[in-house]
Amino acid sequence: MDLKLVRESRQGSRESFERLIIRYEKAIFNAAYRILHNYEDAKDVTQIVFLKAYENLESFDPKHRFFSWIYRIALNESINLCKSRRRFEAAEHIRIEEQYTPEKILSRVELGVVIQAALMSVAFEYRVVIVLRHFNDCSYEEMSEILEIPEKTVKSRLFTARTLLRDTLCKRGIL
Amino acid sequence: MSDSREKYEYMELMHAEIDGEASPEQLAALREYLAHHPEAQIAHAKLAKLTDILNHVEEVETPGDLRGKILAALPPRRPTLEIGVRNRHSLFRIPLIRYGYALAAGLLLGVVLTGVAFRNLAPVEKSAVYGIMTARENMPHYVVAEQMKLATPGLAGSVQLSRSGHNEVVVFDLNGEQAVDVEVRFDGSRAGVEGFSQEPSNIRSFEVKEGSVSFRSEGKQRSTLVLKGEKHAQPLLDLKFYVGDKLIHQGTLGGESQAGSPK
Repeated sequence: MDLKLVRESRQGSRESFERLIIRYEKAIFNAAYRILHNYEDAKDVTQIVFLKAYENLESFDPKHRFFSWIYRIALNESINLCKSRRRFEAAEHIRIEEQYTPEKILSRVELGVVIQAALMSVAFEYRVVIVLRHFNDCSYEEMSEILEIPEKTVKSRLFTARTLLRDTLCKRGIL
Repeated sequence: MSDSREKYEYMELMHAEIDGEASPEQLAALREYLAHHPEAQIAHAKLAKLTDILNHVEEVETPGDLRGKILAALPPRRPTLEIGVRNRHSLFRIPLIRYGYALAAGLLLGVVLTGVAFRNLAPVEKSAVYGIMTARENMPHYVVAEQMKLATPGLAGSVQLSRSGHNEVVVFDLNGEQAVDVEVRFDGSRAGVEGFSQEPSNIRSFEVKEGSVSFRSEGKQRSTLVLKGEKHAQPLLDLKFYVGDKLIHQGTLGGESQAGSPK
């Protein structure tokens, strides 16, 4: 399906590319949001991802999955943005962490905020595997392709990432 | 196996189970282990709860205007011709054909260098010029590296690539029944556009981006493009010729593997 749409997009069909956007904009936007924790940044990254994908469709290798390719673009763009915004992150974490205590957590929305804060407290490489696995439902194999690392490394990063998250949430009394 | 090693391996197995990546045998082994290790049961329960929380975090709504903004920002796209240069490359991978090409290129190089190395190009009239065209004034010092003949319906002429030191001059002598849009792509990290001119008449449509140049040729017209890069950078030029949105010809010139260029 994706390969057909890519082929048609390469031939100049904007409709086919629009269908690719429809298929993946939500996933890319959510991944970017979870990684960056900023609505506007996630919006910018999503836009850049699809523009870059469109401009570089010729370089897409059909041996790989299209979604792996655009996820990789999204991660690279998120890394770039993270680097440029790094100095603002620490202050942001503290502000969110202090807003919620176990007693005050009532809704899933609030729980989502706490999870997001916990996510932002772990290093980028661990945050990414959590996002891909739990928010984008990627398998080990897919994550390995997206991140261009062996499956063994994916497993080990997930293990560490969850351990770090668990410890953070335990401290907050969530687990 | 040491206790800590065993514990670590079963922890890994718990993660694999949570992710749906454990085999039936591994699941059975994990169940057996959990049955005899209460502390592992606690860790397992916490992991399951963490996973449950993560899997139930609500998705963020995609901004309503996002798709429209992306679509509005997409640049116009021209269809890719799936023949021509791609086929040439695939044939080139066959050793016998590759050596045949190399031999032919070598012979052609001899002929080209003997025949045209010291040729003076016909003087051209001055016209509107983009950038610096002084390099073109020294054309007698250039060595013709490669030439492309064009004989497709609606378009005749030739494209000639000449080189000297840092400069590459591409002369498009085109004769089209209709206006022809020419697109030249190259590795922007190796070369940039130094100048461009057209005779007769002024430049009507010309656009430069990093790694690409596009212009329009009307009727019988000579367009001269000067690229400058590192000495003997020899970028591969990917040429496309369009009438309207229809790609009518495509090919490549130059590149390091091409004959006729100073090494």
